[in-house]
Amino acid sequence: MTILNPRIGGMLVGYYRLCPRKAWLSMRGLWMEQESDAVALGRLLDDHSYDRDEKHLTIDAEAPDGTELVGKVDRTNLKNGVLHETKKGRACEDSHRWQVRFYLWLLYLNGVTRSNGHPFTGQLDYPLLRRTEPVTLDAEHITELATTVSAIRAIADQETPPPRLGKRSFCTKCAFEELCYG
Amino acid sequence: MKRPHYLFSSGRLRRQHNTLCLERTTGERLPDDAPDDEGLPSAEADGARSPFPVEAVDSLYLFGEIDINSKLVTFLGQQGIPTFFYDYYGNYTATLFPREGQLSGRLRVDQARHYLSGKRRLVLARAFVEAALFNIERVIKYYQPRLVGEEQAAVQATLVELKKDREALPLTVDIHTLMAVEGRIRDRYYRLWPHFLGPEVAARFPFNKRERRPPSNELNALISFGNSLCYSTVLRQIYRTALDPTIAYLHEPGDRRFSLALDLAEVFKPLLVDRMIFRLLKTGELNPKHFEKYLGGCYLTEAGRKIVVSHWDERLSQTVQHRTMNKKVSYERLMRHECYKLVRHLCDPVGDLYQGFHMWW
Repeated sequence: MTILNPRIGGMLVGYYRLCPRKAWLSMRGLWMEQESDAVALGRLLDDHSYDRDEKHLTIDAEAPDGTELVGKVDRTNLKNGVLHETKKGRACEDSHRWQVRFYLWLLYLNGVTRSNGHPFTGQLDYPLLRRTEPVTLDAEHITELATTVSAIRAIADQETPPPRLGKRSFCTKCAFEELCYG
Repeated sequence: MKRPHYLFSSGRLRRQHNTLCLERTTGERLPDDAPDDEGLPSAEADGARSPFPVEAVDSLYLFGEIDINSKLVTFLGQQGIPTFFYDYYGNYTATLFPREGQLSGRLRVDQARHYLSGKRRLVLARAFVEAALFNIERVIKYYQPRLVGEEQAAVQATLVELKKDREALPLTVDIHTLMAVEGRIRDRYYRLWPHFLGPEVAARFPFNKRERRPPSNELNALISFGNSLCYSTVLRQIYRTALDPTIAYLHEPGDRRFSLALDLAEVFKPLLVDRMIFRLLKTGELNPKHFEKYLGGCYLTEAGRKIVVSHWDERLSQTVQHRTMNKKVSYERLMRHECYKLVRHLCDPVGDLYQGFHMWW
């Protein structure tokens, strides 16, 4: 049984970079986020930060392998050509970066640039830490993203879930902990 | 912290602004005795109002005669609060479920697939019975050291018989024979109850065999009421997962209630319900005046029900140290883990075989 044409979003890419099992479970509709206080806090933070800016922009694109891609960007600054992603803390920072790169890639696939011809850039915002971090997309990242998307598509077709990570210190903070270990 | 709320009073439960409020009524509530019953509230509001915060409500248990309107139903739906209704006698009658919160089409298909294949269904059904048997043995072994003489001999003999039943489990070829083994196990187990209760309590509460609809004596009434609490607690956990409560393995889907809750409750009844009953009777918290007989049956009085429910609620929040998660987990949460184990089995029956919950203490 296959999931026909899965729509892959930025959060799923982030999940996959963290733990393929988490990506597989959430593609099956097995969500654990409603249980997690950390996720609820993150959502609240996104809702209440940067209220004056344009928020929640949706971008669609098609990957080179034909997969439908969709991105919901937390916040955009179109004048300066920056896509922002709001995060609570810097744990799992690498997966956050890939999420922003994924959004930048969507613009790249659509051929969207700033009015002066330069590509958009990304930025991770940590309002609680009062810090920001720039994120850019280079050629290497583009290849990597294409591979990641194909890999996600491949696990979507998998009958059984990928194995647990088995890193207890890491997994105890995951919303899916009880679903995997309970 | 969200908790289940148990309402024993009668009155009107309403949405007030963005929270819940119970407007109490006075007067005795009588069961179906009015020939011209028009469904109107059977008592007048006495002006007493108890507002309580909706944020703290995990689920509602209504034991009184409660009026509701669609505004409240919508509100409970938005807040994701399941509401369980009980009739005058304390029998579970209905659940008001919010529109499905958690949905996974793929999981539901897997659930059905495991039901349709006789082999796969048997694997799960056996696991439920096996775990129930293990926990029954645990309860027996807990009380065994206190018994002497004839009683001790009876327990020993039963343990031997149960061992035979355990060996019979893998040989069962269909659900029918499995159910027969399960019934046999329960029979043997119930026959030991007078020993566990001790001569004094057993004399006050005679118990021959399990009878329901209506329960024939005090112990049967307690078992029925306790089981229905266990059942609805499991159900409210299933509801928080993507599992479909109607597709079950040991019980036939659709027979009586949400059958999956019956399957999972089977595993927890010895630990939670049976030990609660022993405790309440042996400490004298419950005594004969908490029961009343009518219509050929025996039922708990309202005061008796309150004692059982408050004890049940307390028991659910007790914690044990979980062995693989390495943290404290409440009894209620163990039921949720059971749902997750089932989800894992349904996703990957080979790599993540379901093994029912075994008491480890």
